[in-house]
Amino acid sequence: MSSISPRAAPDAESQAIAELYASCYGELVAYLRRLCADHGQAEDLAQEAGMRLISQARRETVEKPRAFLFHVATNLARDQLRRRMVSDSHAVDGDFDDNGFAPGADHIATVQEDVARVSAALNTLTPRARDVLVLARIHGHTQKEIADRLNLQPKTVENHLTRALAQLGAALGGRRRQ
Amino acid sequence: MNSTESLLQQAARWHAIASGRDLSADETRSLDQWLAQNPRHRLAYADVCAAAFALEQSRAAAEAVVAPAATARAPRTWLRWSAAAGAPLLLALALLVGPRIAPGWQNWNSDLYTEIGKSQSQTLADGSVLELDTDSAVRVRLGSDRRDIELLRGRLAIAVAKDPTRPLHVRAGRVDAMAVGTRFVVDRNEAGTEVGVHEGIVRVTAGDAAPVELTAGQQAFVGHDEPAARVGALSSNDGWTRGVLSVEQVPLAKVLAELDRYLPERIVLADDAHAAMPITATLPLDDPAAALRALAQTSQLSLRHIPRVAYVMR
Repeated sequence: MSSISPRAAPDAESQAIAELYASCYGELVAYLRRLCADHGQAEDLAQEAGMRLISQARRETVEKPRAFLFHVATNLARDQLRRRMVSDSHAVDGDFDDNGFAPGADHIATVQEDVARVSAALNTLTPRARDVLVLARIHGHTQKEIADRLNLQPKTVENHLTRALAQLGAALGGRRRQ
Repeated sequence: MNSTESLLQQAARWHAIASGRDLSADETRSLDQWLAQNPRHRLAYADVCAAAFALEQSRAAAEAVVAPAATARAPRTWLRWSAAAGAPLLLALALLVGPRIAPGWQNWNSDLYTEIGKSQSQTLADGSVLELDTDSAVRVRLGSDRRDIELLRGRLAIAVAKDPTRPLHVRAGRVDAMAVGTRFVVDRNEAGTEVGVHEGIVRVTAGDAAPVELTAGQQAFVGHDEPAARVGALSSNDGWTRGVLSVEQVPLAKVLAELDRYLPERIVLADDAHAAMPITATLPLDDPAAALRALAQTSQLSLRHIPRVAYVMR
């Protein structure tokens, strides 16, 4: 028998993740409702994303738990939206394949792949667009502040940001065909 | 919005505007209108959102050097991580079950389905009695030479009306259970599909494997990754058809996983150490929340609720 290991930490850690999820829940549901336009589904997806955060935090440290939670939720919503589009466009009665349907079973891999793709796509941006993006989204500056700092018109900042986001979005959308 | 922009650019422009500041009521309305116009708009917007959240997790972005900043500003709230971020999360959180999303599209494509916590009994046109447990869905096709029931998700029990000219098949994924007249249960869950025979004989086929015949008191389990069925003595009872969960010396984790099927909340066992605790109990399934409270109490564990998740902890 090993000696009694100190197990004070676990409860505090689980509490931190539980509290993060609880404190984000309302915002997460509102966000998902905008994406899906379906309140019931928004709550289901928020719950599912929460369970996946809890499960992932059990396996390893989640460095950005909030971004992870929203990212997983977004990917679940993307799955649902795609599925909805497929069932809207094809005959419903057909023998469509739901065998082995494990909703986003590879969600962790997907999140990691998205992060890798976005990281790689950063290098394809113009230096100016990348600066605007990083200042806005990583350092939390307003577009007005960025305009002042880089000596640009506010509209130009918005255009840079728009192009950069569209390019990163395209880097992820490419996975869809798989 | 400029109509010559690609969908992704339009979505990105909305995202650029919406996360830089609060939208006005008019802007909020036009964003929602734009999203509602076409499912492709939603998907494009979701792609941009996913990219933005991926960016927040990107080390390359965090380490990117930008033209020197005059003053370092505190991050705005929409970017701020929780104070918990970066702290090691070594905790043993026992997750009892896999993913569960009540799939609306699946209900829509079914002939009969149940919500979480509800069950339903239906007599089919051939006289067979079909019972659906919580959160389950089936498609039913009664033909002239065979009867087909497809279990899309969840668990069913069926008392098959005798009709030797029309064998009844229950299909769950690649598992097929065939009977002429009998009573059996099919349970399709995250781990695989289980067929338990209570009366008569059922022939179970998993994909291309040779069929196995089960008699009353036997069950077959086919795991998702397994080629063939494993046959054993019937271990799970069909108490759920009478509205109770009845267990004898069953590990706590397994009992909680059963209760989880009936609750809109997901159940998380906070400590692996309790997972194997043997439980003997009869719990009411018509009030699964009360059943969970009773179970926690008798196990000397406590419950903590966060939105749509119940933690079982010391």
